[in-house]
Amino acid sequence: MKNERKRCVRPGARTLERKATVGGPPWQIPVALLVLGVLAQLTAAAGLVTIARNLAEGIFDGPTQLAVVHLYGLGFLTLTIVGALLQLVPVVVRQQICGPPVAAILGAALAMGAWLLAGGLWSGAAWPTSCGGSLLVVGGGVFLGYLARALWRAGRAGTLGAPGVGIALAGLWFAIVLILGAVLAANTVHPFLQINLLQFIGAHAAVAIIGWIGGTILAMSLRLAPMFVLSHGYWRAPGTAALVLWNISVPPIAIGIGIGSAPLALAGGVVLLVACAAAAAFLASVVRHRRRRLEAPIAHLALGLLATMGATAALMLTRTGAFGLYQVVVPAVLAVLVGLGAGVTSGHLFKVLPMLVWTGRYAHLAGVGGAPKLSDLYPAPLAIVEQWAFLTGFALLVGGTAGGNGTVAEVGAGLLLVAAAAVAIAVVTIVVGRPRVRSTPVIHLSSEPAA
Amino acid sequence: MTEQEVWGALKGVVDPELGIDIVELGLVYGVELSTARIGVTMTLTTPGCPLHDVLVAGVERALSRPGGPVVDVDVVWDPPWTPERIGAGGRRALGDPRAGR
Repeated sequence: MKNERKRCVRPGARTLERKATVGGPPWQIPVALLVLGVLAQLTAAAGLVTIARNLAEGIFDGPTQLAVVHLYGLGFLTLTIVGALLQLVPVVVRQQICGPPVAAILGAALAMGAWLLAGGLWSGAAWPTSCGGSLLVVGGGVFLGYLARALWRAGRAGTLGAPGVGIALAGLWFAIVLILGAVLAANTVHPFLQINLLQFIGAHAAVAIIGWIGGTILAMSLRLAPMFVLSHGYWRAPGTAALVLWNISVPPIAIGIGIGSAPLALAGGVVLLVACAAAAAFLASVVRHRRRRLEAPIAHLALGLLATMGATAALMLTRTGAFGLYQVVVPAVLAVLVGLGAGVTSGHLFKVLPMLVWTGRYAHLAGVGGAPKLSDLYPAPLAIVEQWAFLTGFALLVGGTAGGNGTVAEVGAGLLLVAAAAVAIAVVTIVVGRPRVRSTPVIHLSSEPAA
Repeated sequence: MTEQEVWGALKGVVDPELGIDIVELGLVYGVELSTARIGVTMTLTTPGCPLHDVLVAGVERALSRPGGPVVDVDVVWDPPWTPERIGAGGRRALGDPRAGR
């Protein structure tokens, strides 16, 4: 038998129950980032309600719109992704990213930076925009530096794997997002860009949403989706192909938008469509070979991939004259940013957060009884409410903005706020709640012999 | 401890994510007993499982007794674990679509 580790423990010897992962920071740090991220999502969802009617009228570049997009993209998604990666990268590639002080400082810089930037964009004040942008560049830069070091070490140790490569590429896109964002923030304070600003912003958004957020989600899903549903014997090749194609699609889309070259953006769109189809094939195979019931992360991932495919196809169809570009841009951005980014991230919070909190609070009870199940840490109906409110709200918001119906869009945004509130209640319950501790193992079976 | 007592103690180690004990999950490949040592050979549902250290520490805690034998846990990946190792009751509890109702 191939052994990974072997050790002897004498009674009373120090055990490893506090060390849930290789080199992960103390559980309180990623949990704090996840909680701050959920707070940003709640605020962004509330903001979305106030701008839904404007979005349906095609007004997407007002101050509140920019603030809401940045609260989603940076305050919620980036902060949550960074918090999760601090814990998951050591699990996936068996390398530590950084120590607790660095993790705490970069997390604080990213959180403060996101809120200041969103506040500056909303109010039109220059100093919060520049301060927030600076904090984001510093916090993000430090994170990316340590991430690159961890992935480099994993590559040398042979533990990188496809998810590690995907995370590395997503990190590259995040670096470009930060650079482009810093240029835009500097231009806000002292205008100097002599180019089409809307196209520049479009390129910045494309790299952020498709490259950084979508790329990270896809990379982590290759590892987490099969794990969540106990899937064995599934088809791995489409997942790897999706990861490669997804990242290949980012430069032509971003450059095409940035320089106003429709054929280049169209070529990137085709590659992204194929990547989505490959990812869907991977997910279908994982689901077909699953040995557990489906839960929030998988449902949200399926919806997110469908939303991305629909958005890409609709944007490409504008070239045929079937739709006007500006009729499609708003629902398309919402489909990928909210449908894929916010949805999949919310779904994963129902898994990742309980795991972090359980490991910190109850791991010492493993083997002696009395520990709750992870699913005992929050009321199960909250996940159901979140999924249905999100699905309905998302469909109404995208449909309302695409059809120019402000009332439908507002109702959709309201339901997305309900979904965000369900996530927030679940998160608060998980973090501050104290579930009733069971005195016996949850399932203690002696059924038919295993195969 | 007798071998039966060891297996009974291992049933007290529950995977918190799945809510099923590690014996029912088929994670325990074997137990060796001597007066000075309890050897447990086990695996996990996937390499890089986030609960790796939690479950190993749980096994150690379940079997350790003051003044008792040394607990020696081997985590192995060969043969690899498959869902077919889960007992029928565990599969039903997980909602496995291939489990009998």
